[in-house]
Amino acid sequence: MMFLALSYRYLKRFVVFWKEFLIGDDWWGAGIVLVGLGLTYLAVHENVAAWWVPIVFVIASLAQNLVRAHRRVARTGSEAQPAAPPKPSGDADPGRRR
Amino acid sequence: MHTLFLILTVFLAAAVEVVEMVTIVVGVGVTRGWRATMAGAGSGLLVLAVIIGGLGTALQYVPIGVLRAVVGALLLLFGLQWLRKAVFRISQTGWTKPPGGSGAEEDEDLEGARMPGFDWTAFALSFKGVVLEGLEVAFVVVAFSAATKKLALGIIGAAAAFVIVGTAGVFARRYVEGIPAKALKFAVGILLVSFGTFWGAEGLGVEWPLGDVAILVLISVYLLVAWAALALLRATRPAPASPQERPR
Repeated sequence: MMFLALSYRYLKRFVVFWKEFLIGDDWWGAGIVLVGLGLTYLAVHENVAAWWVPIVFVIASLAQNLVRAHRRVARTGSEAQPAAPPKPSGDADPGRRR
Repeated sequence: MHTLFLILTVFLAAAVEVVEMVTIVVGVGVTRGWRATMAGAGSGLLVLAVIIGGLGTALQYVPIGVLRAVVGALLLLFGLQWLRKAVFRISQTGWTKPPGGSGAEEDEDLEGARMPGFDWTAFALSFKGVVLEGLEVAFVVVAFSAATKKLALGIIGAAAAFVIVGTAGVFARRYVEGIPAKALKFAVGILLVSFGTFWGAEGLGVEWPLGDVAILVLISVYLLVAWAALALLRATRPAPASPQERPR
């Protein structure tokens, strides 16, 4: 049981690490790039010269992120995204704290 | 003459890949610290030695297309994070380090992604760069040598490229460290996105016009786009509110 809990904790940290590593706080940007690569794959297999497709999607991904960051700074004065409200922790037992 | 030509050809081909490897390792080391970066690079070289030793000439049959598609996509996603943050930060505070600042605030995005203790991000980046580029070198060595049945000569050419270009990269380290981190991230971001686009698309079956020269075109295109975005952001930057104007 303890082994399972430990494995779950390490697995969770591993997933969080790769999520932070690859996506960070920009799900839209990552999504646009992956859609671009998917469309490139489809276009190549339809014998279309698709070398320009990933470039367009990369530029689109960069543009949407910069526009959103620019708007956020104009609105809040800070580049950082507003922090999400704290989630109730599933493993904490409120009754035990008392 | 033929022997010399073979060594020289493999040296030049390998040097191109080693330059890319050193660029990634030095860039990651300067921005995130050297301990984990060198550990990643060392582990990458070790893995590479095991792979080359174990597979030998069979390395030619490793599906490099799949490898390129996966690693290209990963580099692209990570490089975009660096590039967009560097572009935005430079548009807000300029290229130079803030006066009197340690520059630590420049790294806040990377600091945020760091786990306490060993920097696994630097390790993974450096490891991936070395393994991928090293595989390319191995591929070049095997491809060139297999045709001439002179594997040892190919290895000599590649080893010379590793030693000469790698040493030059290490000596250039001090100069690189003097560059503001955000400017370096801008440059490395452009490189990562360019190589990521190139390998990712190539792995999916794209045939680049101009072949490998397309990497230079990609770097130029992304550089132009980033410069344009930078100019646009600076032109439309909202003026900082004075203390009296700030909402209470």
